[in-house]
Amino acid sequence: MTPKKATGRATQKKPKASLSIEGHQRVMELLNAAEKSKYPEIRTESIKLAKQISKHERSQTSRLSPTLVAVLATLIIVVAVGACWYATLKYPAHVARIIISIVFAAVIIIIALYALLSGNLSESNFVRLLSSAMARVKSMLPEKASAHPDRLMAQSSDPGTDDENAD
Amino acid sequence: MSSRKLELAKKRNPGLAELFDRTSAYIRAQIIHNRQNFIIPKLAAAALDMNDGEAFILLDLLAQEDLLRRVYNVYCRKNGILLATVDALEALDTIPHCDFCDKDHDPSDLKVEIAFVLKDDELLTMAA
Repeated sequence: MTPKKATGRATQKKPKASLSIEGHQRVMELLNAAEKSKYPEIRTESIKLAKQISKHERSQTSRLSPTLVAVLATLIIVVAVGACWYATLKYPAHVARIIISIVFAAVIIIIALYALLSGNLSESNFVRLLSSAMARVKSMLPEKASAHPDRLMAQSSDPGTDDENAD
Repeated sequence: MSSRKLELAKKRNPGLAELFDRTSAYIRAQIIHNRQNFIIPKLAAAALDMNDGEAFILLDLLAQEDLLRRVYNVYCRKNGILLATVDALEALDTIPHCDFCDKDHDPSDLKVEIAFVLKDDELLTMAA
């Protein structure tokens, strides 16, 4: 951005925070007024602009940097792939499928959380992702197993696997 | 002669072509005849008989075509003097010391106004 251009007899001093909020409010007031326009193109543009501003605000107030998010997300995906691989090797197919679906949902939730904290995902979309991930896990779990997850492990037919589960 | 960028804006928003013509005529009048540096959406709205939001969107669409630039003016409420003009909202948090009042104002003592400045002379070179 272009640096501040002072006019009149003003000199730059210590920062204070809330004039930007006032400026933001002014823009939003104008956009609200534009949404009442009789011209559909103006209404569409005002909605588009409001979305842009909201996205920009989120990225400004984000707590995690996009680079850190990318690194963490990559690490989590690698760990998840490893966990899925381990599950397919060590557990019977039906148990492995459930583990994979849980890992998959967990990865989605964690990455969504990172995206939320870095300002790349809105809260409403985060909640939507969370509920769809939970629904997916619930649909994958058998009814009895979802009520008593320990029982699912006991149902495993392979005795060797049961020993590992007990560990 | 017509501005290429203005024609592009009209082409992208055919329903607003007439409003763009009126707005560009207003901008020319303000800058050439009234010698104003800033185009204020509120004043443009009053002159063009539309609401503030419509004027803001029209000016912003011209800004998207690089004809104008959106800026934020910071005024001292007490004296009504322009203290600073910034390009970004975040830059508003660096409040300048007011030499007229000789103090660092609280944000409540300052006023923010959205304005547009000319970025490209194409609008001015158009035949009036």
